[in-house]
Amino acid sequence: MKHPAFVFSVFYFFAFSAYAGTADFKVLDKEGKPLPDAVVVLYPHTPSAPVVPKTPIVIQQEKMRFVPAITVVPLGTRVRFTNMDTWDHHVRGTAESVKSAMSAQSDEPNFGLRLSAKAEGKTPSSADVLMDKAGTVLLGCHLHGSMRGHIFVTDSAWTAKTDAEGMAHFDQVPPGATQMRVWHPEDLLGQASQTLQITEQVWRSTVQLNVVPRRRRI
Amino acid sequence: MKRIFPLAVLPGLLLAAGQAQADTGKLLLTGGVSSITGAAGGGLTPWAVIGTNATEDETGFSSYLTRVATQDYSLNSYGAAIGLNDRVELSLARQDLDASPTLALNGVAAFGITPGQHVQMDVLGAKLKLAGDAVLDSDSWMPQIAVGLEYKQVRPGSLQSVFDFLGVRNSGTDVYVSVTKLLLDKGLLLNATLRSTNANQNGLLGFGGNSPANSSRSLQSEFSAAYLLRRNLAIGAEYRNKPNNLEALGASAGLADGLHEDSWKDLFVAWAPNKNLSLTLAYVDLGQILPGVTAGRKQTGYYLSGQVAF
Amino acid sequence: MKLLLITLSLLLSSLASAQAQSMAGTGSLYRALGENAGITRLMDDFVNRVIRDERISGHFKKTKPQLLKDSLSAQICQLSGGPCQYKGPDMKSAHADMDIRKSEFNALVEDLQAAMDTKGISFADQNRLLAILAPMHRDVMAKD
Repeated sequence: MKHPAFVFSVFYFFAFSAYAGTADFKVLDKEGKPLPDAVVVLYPHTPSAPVVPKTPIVIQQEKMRFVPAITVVPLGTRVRFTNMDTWDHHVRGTAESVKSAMSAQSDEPNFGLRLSAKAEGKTPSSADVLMDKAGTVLLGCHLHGSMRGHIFVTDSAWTAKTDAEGMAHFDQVPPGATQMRVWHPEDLLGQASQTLQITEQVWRSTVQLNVVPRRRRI
Repeated sequence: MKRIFPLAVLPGLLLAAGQAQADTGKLLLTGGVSSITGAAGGGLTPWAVIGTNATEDETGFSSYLTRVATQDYSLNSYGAAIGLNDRVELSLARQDLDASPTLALNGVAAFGITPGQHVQMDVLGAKLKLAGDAVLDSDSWMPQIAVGLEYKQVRPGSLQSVFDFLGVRNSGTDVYVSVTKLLLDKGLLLNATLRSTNANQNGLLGFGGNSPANSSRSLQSEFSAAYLLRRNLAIGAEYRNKPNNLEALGASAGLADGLHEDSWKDLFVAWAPNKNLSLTLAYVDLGQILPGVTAGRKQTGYYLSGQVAF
Repeated sequence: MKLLLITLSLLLSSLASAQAQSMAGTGSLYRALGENAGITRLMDDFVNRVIRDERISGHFKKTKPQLLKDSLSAQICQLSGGPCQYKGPDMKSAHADMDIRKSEFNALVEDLQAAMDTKGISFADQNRLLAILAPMHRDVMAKD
């Protein structure tokens, strides 16, 4: 089936190996080039919740950026915001809904953290926030409007972020009907989730998103 | 080049009309004015700045009209230039010299010079910025550096017989390197240009010559200084050393120092009422030009130029 | 030739007096800008121009104007020799990921010049301030 903004091409590889049940997804941008930092989520026939880490996942504010810019965490994770810059940051997080992603207005933030500047030789200031709702959270800084980041809070164990080559890899995916969803912060139209029939083979498919890559001048 | 010249100006005018709303680009007066050979710089000498209003990632256009008049000569010059990405400058200029005094050369030999003879010269210029930013590198002594060339073609009309006699050619290429620096905290711009040339009187008396004494190509230094009185008003001075290739030749032909060539100097004031228009008025001292037919008079007078830039 | 010499000596003497002015010690530019109060008024005018300047206002859509005014005032105060200590981000970090073009940088300079004109700052003092700020173009337009 074809969706105008969602071009889906499938390549089947038959590999009779002991590692049945791996799935590799390649995500491309609008121009067909590999798209890193896209999040691929699978909801297999037998779903599984992700394991909540025991220690907080750290997102640093460093040199006016959120590091990492996109963080995937299991539902229930504590995220620790740590200010590594020598100036203050005022981190704000807003849970994104489809409505807020498409409208120009910004929602009221769900949390705001004042993190003071890091003094040389001293430990940086940090604050924790519990990610108790599945979905995406938009991160910003009240003091520095250009700072932007995302947290993808997932309720599926089969969630992966694409690497520099646009690849997301999954092990031990149970066979059967599987819902697949691909998310990227600049994919404003959003994606309808797709149903795949994963069989006991090495699964490979390519997904193209309607994302125009950010052109960086050399 | 004679035929394409008028056509080259036309698309530029159209482009200018279309870009009339273009407002960004260079800061006022930092593109210099149009020199008499079309390159951006001072009135008499090219600078390392790339002309037009275009800055990085932009394409700009400028055109100018200049008139110089001294005791015995007058020169009209007009042309156009394109600035690319604040790195490359291409220019096309025409000079039209009223060389009426040369009629007197008919008394020296049967040259067959017609009265009111004009000498026309076309100059195709190209300039490449190599390094530096004349305006913004205000924390260092590093100037802006550019190299350029001016390919000149002269049409002397009935003076061709004189050219043949002197053994000068009708075309030649100047190559130069310029360093320009705006001492921003003082509002003072300084430029030095080193030019390799074999042009006589900038090319208006041909290129090279039969002169036995010296090789015709030489290095000539040129200097400019401009002081910003206001953001849109500058005063300055230029000094341009010139070769003197023909004097010895003239002397050996019995003309004494009749073909002597001097350096050129000027004192100028440049005013930019807005970002797209600049006017320059200067007092020029072009020294002796063919003193043999001008009774050795020093050619001083005015220089008036207007430039439109986008 | 005599006229040329006179002009050159005039240029050199104006140069010398300008030199003398700039060597009056750090803090003279701070005073020329009207000290803290003057700098605050100047940055107020400047930021208001910038956020309304169609050429560059896009870069300031997410900026809180008062925060920017305060930050700039502290920086200018310190850079002009005043008694302030700027503790905010360096220019490279502050402009990271903004992809600022040279024409946009120049537009900002023009807005600053217009603001300084309005506040009656002399052309010579304007250039002294610009000479301190101009080298920041490397950090503001850094490509990485």
